[in-house]
Amino acid sequence: MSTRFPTFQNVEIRESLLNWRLLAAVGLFVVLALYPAVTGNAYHTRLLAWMMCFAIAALGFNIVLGYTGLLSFGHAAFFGTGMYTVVIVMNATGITDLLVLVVLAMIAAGVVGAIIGALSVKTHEIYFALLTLALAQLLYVLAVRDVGGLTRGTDGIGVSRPDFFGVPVSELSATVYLVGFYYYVILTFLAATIVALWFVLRSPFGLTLKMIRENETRAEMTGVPVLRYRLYSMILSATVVGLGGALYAIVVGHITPEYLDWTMSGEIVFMALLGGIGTFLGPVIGAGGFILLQELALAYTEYWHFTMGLVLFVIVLTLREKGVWGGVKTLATRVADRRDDQ
Amino acid sequence: MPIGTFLGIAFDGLYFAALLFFASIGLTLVFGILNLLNMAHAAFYGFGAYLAVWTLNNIGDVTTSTVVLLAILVLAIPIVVFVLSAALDKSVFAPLYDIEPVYQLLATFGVILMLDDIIKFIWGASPISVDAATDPSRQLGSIELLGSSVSAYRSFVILIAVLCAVGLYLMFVKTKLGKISQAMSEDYEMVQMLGINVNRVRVLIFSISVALAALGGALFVPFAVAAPSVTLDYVLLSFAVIVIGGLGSLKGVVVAALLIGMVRSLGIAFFPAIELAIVFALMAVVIIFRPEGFFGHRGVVE
Amino acid sequence: MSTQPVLETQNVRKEFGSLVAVDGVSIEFHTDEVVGIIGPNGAGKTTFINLISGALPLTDGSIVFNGEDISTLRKYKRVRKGLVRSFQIPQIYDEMTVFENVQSSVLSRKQENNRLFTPVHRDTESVEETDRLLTMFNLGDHADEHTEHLPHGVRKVLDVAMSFALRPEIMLLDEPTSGVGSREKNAVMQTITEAAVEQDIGLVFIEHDMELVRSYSDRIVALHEGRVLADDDPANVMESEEVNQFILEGGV
Repeated sequence: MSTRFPTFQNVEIRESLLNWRLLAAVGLFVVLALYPAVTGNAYHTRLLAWMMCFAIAALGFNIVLGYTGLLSFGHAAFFGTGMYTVVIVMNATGITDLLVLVVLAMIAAGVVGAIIGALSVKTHEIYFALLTLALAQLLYVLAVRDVGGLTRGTDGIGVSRPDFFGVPVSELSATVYLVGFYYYVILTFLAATIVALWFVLRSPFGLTLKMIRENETRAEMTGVPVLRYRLYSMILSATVVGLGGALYAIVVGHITPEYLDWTMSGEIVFMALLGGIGTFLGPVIGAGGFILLQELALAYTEYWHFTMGLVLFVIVLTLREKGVWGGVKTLATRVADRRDDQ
Repeated sequence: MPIGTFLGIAFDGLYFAALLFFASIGLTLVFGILNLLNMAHAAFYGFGAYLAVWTLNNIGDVTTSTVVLLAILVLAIPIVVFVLSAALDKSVFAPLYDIEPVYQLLATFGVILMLDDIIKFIWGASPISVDAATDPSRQLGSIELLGSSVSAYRSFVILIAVLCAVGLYLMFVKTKLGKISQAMSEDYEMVQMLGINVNRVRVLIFSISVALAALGGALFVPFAVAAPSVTLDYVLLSFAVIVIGGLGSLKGVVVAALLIGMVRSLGIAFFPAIELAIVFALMAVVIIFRPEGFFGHRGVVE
Repeated sequence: MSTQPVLETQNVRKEFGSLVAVDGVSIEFHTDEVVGIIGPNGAGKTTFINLISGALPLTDGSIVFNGEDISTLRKYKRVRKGLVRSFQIPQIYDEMTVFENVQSSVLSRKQENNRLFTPVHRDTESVEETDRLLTMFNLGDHADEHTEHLPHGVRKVLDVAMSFALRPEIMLLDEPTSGVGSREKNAVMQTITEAAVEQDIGLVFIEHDMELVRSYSDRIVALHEGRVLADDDPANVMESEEVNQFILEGGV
């Protein structure tokens, strides 16, 4: 019994850490919320909106890689499905309400996740990676060739701005729409995603996913239907990634099959890995870091691919599942330990 | 359908298959023998393509002899890349052999991004193509085969592919290097314990594999342009080939390359809209129902 | 001993190609006994356990659990019915704490895997039960440690504790003391058998150490070349001529 409840000193450390983390998170959101209003910088706001959409996608992706231990190279399928659903539904049915569109996009992405998941959860490691890659690429090829007449092929489709609960916000100018309204929609969704996943991944459900990641045989021998939970993990992940895609569709305003291509999947993997797949918030940091790095590299050199490739390579060889965020956390703990020693 | 059309389709299929063979054979060997899943393998196919266009276009002032041009494609470029890849194996790829396959995929994805930009840095971002004066496929013209007229150059490419496949088979069956490689594919540690210098074998196998990919890229360009998309397309195509054939199998690559070559050729002729979709669908079906592929889990040459 | 067996194998047979690993084995198991399984290497002991737990499909015969034929039931469903096994090499979750390892078993037994939103450390019921189990198996000191770097003996006990958390009726143990130092072997067996008696769990264990088998078994089954050589009280089995000829003298 005594071991479960740490000694007084540890409680103190843990609580202050919790407060510190909570404070930091709240502080970050306040800064993010105030940034557009205070600076009025449309370029930065757009970049932040972009980062937040991918932060949602990377968080969703990490449910499968970080928590369930499966490397998917097909998550572009869910991101792209989220994007295309918004525009296709808007054009086909005349629905213009943002929330309805986003929910439909999440459902569509979840359905695609269920299909790809059902076909692939039996496979392992590289076979899982290659199968998700093949299935997602199938979707990409169909979108490029405009099979079914939904996607207009490589020309892509323009997205008009949706309304909000009957309020005709779409009549605002593009910049005001983004800086004044849509930015806060994305921020709210990001906060909601972080809070919801924080609880879900700490629940018995989240623990079950970790059991599968750590030791599939044991999980099965503990009475867990492993394949079913892998499928749940894929569906949840796809839904969240679809949310990121749906929100992003309106930021970019134009959708092409590029967003379904395997290099897009690679970028999502990259973001999660950069931030740290073994940490909860890593993917958020990774998405921000990836886009920031890309912008910086682009500003100084046209060879930003090289920079990104080098970063990915070095991260895999050094930090692994810790990523930048995990690395910072380890460093902070070490510094704290040293201070205690002195 | 006239028989000539059918022969034409079959011939194109063989040509595709030859290119796929070059792009994929090294990928499967490196995986089967050295346990490295190298996503960046196809980047060397792309590199070979660029190097070939550049060399052919610069040699024009010196000579336009067909024999010299073909020798550049078949010998000079693979040899240059062979040396280069030996250096890469010792530096960039060396730390990747001991990590988990999933991380190998991710690290080599990073290598693709880097090579991609190195190519852009050297040759620019726009596609480049072979000048008419030094294009061996124009010089060779066409030949009569079974009553239809086919490209002599394409026949040459198919011939080289066949020679390489036979050569590799003989290497694995007859030579010491081949036998050690086979043993390594079955039990890496055991070979290491026998006191064999596995690092030297590793460098050789890796360099041969990469050189073959570059050879494919070089042979590819007289009929196509060298562009960054070449690498990205062939990453997926070569994965499809080695998965369908069975990871690590030489015979598997030959059979799967022929299959996909024919499927693409037929697809382009009859279902142009979904020709690539068929390839990925096939790849998915094989992983779902027969993850070991046609000839997987049986060693390199079985 | 209760008369109605909980677990019963009927003419169970397993072939690998031309090799017959288990050749028509029929044994009954009860909840109030400890059964030791002995036999030389290759006698089919582990295969037999793999068949019962569902890790391998049967070639022939059937397995009956509480009167129900479970021969083709999926692995996890057998576990949920109360038929649990542990492994020769500990199967635990490396990147989780000892506490989480055990709690995950508790939650799985209650089939609460799909509960969302309640953080596991606030689930008082399973936390308390986990604490009790940790105390019972002397794992309390390690509760908050990741299992990766634990000594082998502790990993072994944790593996067993996780199986106990499932509250099975029958528990199959594949060499519970393998890799454990000879002095600790008795302590490990003591802990396991006491816990089994307390919770009314029938134990079936494979063991090479004849002293341990003799001390802790109520009944011994001797397997040889996939067949039952003897199935009787420890004293009778140990004295049996055949057992002595094939197993004890064979130097296991």
